[in-house]
Amino acid sequence: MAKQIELLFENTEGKTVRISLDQPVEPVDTLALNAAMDKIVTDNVLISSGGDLIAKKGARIVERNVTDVPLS
Amino acid sequence: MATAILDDTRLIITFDAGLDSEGKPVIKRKTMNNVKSSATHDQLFEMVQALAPLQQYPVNQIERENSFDLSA
Repeated sequence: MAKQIELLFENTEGKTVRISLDQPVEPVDTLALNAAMDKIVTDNVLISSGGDLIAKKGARIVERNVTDVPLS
Repeated sequence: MATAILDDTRLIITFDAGLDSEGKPVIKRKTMNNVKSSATHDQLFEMVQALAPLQQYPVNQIERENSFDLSA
């Protein structure tokens, strides 16, 4: 089960920008999460097609399940 | 003399993901393409340090890849 933590930011166009990391630590350390997201917004070192990342929007853990389907 | 203009920066983070069944080290790489070329080394290093505690693997190496446009 591949799990990822996704950090969601808002860019100047109001669109959502995702930064994902594999193998998240659970439960999520919200202090570290907020610190990392604040740092990304303050330092402004990342770009997106819709401009700078200007605000934190949210974060989530995403899990992907793959089930093979036999071809008859 | 040719001039070089900094065009693009990529950040490559290498994680140490333990050993496989044969005892060989497993390395995971995460490449971030959405990095501003104006970002300083310090800012990128600190961003990786801030993101590192959100996932399980220790950071093995942080690489910065700059590409330059050459012109006459």
